[in-house]
Amino acid sequence: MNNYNPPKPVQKQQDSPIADLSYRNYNGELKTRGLRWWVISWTMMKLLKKNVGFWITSALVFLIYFLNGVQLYFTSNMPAGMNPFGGDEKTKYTLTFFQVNSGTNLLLFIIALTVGSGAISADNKANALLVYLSKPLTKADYLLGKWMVIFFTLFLETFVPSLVLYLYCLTSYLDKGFLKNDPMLFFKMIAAACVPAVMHASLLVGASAWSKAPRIASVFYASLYFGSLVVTGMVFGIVYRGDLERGQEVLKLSLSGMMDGIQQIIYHVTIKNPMATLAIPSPSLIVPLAIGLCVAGIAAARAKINAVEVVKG
Amino acid sequence: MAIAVISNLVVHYGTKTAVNDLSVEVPEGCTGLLGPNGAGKTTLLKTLLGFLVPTSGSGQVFGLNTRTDGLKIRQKIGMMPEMDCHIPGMNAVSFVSYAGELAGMPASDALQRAHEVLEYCGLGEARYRNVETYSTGMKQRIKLAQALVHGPKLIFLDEPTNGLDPAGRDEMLALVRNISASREVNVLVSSHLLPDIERTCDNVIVMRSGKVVRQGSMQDLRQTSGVQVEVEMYIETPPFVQELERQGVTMLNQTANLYRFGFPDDTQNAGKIIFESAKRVGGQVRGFKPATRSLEDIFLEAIE
Repeated sequence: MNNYNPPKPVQKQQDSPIADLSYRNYNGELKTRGLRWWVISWTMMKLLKKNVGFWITSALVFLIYFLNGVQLYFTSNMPAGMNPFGGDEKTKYTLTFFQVNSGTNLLLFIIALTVGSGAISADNKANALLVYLSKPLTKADYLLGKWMVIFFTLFLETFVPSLVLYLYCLTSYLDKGFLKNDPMLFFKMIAAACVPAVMHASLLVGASAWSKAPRIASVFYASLYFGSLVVTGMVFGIVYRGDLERGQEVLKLSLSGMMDGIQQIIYHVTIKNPMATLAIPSPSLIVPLAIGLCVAGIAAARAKINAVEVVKG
Repeated sequence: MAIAVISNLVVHYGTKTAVNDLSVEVPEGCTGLLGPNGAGKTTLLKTLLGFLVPTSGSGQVFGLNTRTDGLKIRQKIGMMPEMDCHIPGMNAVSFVSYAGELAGMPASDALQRAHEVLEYCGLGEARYRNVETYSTGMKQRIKLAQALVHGPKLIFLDEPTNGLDPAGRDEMLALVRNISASREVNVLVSSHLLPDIERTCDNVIVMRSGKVVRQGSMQDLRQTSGVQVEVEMYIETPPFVQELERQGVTMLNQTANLYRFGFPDDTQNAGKIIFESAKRVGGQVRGFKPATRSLEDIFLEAIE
């Protein structure tokens, strides 16, 4: 009797109809190009989630806002003669918002470097522009996408903690004239949050586009940021001999000074400290200068963004 | 039907003329763009993509003007560049689906399609690895995947086998052949490697110094003029050659015991002449076949 059952031949995977490995093209929906810059911004922001340095710096920004909230709490319960606002209840909250914005500008600069130095330079290094611009994208789509990553990140870094602080003030000090003293504070807060975001974004896309590596862009931008601070500081020291009241216009010509000055104009507050009373700076010089720098940064980036190396001569 | 038509195209890089009065029609199917370095192959591809603005002349891809419809053209085209390129910090799935989204695919479709295309390109196992850690062969494949993700009707492959080992090269060429065989995608392969073009393309465009010097289907170009026959003898047999030359046959070339003969155009039965001549001189014919030209012959003829 024959009990032998030969094994069935193993069916090869490619014989199976469900393993059809031949090429099939995509014939589905393709959206119009209206919001393709948003695809770039959103994807880059998702990549930012993995950056530990970004989260640490962001936490520090939140900490500064928190500490200012704590300070506000204590000063509200102090006698007028002891609190640092000198009992000036009218500008107390506006001044707090200006000071906390001003106090976080250095951290925002660090975040800007983290987010923006590699925005285009990393693409230059990896030849990614060929990938982007061989798709149905314009240079403007690409540039807007990259600009928005930096802008949104920095804007939210300022706006979100400001909003938390605002809501705290609204719930705690409404009866102490919080809204009545400065009804436009909310809008001023939004406008002030835009200032460093716009300036860093515009200048960093320019610096990043002209660099072949994120580190080079960082060094270049940091040199610009601190260099302008050193130069204006030296001019202030030599010409005005440390007279803050007379020389503050010069100090507002550095990058950080410009941001600070424009925020002070927006909040419309005079800073009184034991050394000097710093009046609201004149917008006639720093605002056009800041706008010019932003336009120059964007124009520099636009000139450099090309899918292929443009050989001349 | 031509998928791309170029008429009198002139492209300058500063004072240097890269493409000079070039007119060409790229037919459907898989077309090879051949030429020595600096012939203008890549410049032609860049102009078709709208990356370069031509000095004069016009171009159309799928009936769209290269000067004014760059975005619409790029929607229908996939580009696999020659140099390594990727988006920093992304794994393969993210990179390819991102490329799909940039081309206008909805995010969910792009993600699904990215998996499909990566599997097709042989990167299924490595799809979650960061692209920066890929080997050269894998980087070539991912460039192909990002070019295919949005379902283009035409793909440009610029030196697709650069830096690949023999096995990798075989696989890449098989992929290219398979894609063009699907009939859904036309392929334009730019290369200076003749065997690559020979294995994958149905049509060839040969360029030199910014001009097209030869164009046609591979089959047509391979045909020889007149009657040419390749004969394999047992050993080198000079008397056999002399006997044929006495009858008006020309020896075109010889490699050891392998001869190529050109017969007069009115020759009716070349085989009979060969065998009778061999018999007369005591030579032994091992084989003979009508001669075809290799792509190398065509290329060398064209660029000389």
